[in-house]
Amino acid sequence: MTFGEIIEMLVSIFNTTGFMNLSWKMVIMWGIGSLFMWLAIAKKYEPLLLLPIGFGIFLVNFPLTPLMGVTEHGYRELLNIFYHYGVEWEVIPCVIFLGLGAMTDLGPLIANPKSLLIGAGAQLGVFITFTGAILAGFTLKEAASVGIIGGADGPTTIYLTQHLAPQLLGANALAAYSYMAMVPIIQPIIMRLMTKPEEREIKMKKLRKVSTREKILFPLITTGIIALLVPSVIPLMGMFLLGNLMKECGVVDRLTHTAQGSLMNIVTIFLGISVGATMQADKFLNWKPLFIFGIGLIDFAVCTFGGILTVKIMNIFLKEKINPLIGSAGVSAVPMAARVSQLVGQQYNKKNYLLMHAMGPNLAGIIGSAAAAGMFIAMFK
Amino acid sequence: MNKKAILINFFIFCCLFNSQLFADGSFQVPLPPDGKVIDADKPNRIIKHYSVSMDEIVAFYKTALQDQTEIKWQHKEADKSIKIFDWGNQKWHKITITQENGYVSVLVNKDSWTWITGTLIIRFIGVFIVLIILMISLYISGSIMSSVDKKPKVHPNKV
Repeated sequence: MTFGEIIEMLVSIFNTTGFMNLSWKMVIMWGIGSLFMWLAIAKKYEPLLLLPIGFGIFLVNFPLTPLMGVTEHGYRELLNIFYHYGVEWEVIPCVIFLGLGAMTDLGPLIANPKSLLIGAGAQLGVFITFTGAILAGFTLKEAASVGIIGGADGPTTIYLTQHLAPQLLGANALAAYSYMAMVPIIQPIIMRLMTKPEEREIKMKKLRKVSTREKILFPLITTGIIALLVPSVIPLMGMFLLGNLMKECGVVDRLTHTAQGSLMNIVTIFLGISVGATMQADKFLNWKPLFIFGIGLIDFAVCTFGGILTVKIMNIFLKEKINPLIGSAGVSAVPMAARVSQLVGQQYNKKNYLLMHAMGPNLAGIIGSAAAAGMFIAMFK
Repeated sequence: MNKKAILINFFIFCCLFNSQLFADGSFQVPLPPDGKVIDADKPNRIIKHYSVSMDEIVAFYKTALQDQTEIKWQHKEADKSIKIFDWGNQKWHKITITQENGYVSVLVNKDSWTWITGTLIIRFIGVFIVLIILMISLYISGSIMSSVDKKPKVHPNKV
């Protein structure tokens, strides 16, 4: 072997490493991935999702990595498999909703069905953001997928975005989960701006007891209504209500524990890393993700505003007033938004326990954001 | 004027301002050549009539719009019309091709803020309707279940 051949061989080996194919955009994405990992680890902002998403962003933004492409034999690579079968086929968001339903007590909503109106009112931001996104130059489908971020429902955001604008999946999911984690920072300001001190002190009557029979009937009634009125979201809501039925009937404890425990954890890992893996530098670094982050914040704020406004309008007609602070819980960041209502309420009246009252709108927000997503899907059929 | 009033007024101003901001007269829509312009005076639509067959008009649009990814075709047997919707960023919103007696009519509707705002309001109300129906169902089922649970249990030994 000649010296020249040795050098040539060393150069060709070096060319197969990532160094020769690094770009500044990838370095920026490392920073973005690291930021979200820091938010998850140091600040504990939605760590279950922001950690795998952040790491997914970091991982795919190295050159020549066989992760999101197709092999020479035509097979999908690792993360492409998770993304294709989990997210593109819309399996993972629905399975997450199964787990969510299995861990949610819908008693506060059943005890006070009026909360459903608050959950509906809190979708105001979704529709206003849709308009704002169109003005900014998004297509109608992209605008719809950006609008749903304000519903503060991760699986619904992913479900709708994958349906209408899969190219925005990474940005939308990241915005949704980031702002969900920042609910305790964003909402109190709007709650104080929109309510008077005397309104914040309103004490609400204790919620009635809900029987097991009612809790079993609820998933069946809701499934029927959603299936008839908004059939396009029944994959999502159907799984949520199945999980809830499993929990409430009490005869399938093993299945319930699996759905709310190990199954939920498995799909969360796959979801996080798949979503992060869609954020490759060449696809992510343009004005749209930045705009989505900006408008996502406004979306959240307007949804909070919408929920509180709905309570204020309801109070015009009701004898027993509702504390408007629970209106902000219509944003379906369960249970964080309800806790925020409790904390802010207690700042004005230490004996005011709003948590269970706020859980009603919080849970109604899940149904409300699913209904809004269904409306958007139907718009494009 | 207090802070709340300023914020509310600013919000209303933004909504009103934005609704006028992007109104312009250009359609940027492909139209088959020749044809007779019937109506081009209204700012939000154009109507042209063609003496060729509907298949030729449809073939023209299939070619002209083949690179557009956000196009949806809708065929309506009832009034023998074909509608082409743009869900993307085109200035036009809808093209309606209808077979009339002896000619084909092409109606182009501009991207309309009236349509966008209208459909949003209707769908927002739709969300309320879905949840109101669910709320009513819960009240009914709740009152039935409460009365079933309240019924006194009959002791088996009582006559």
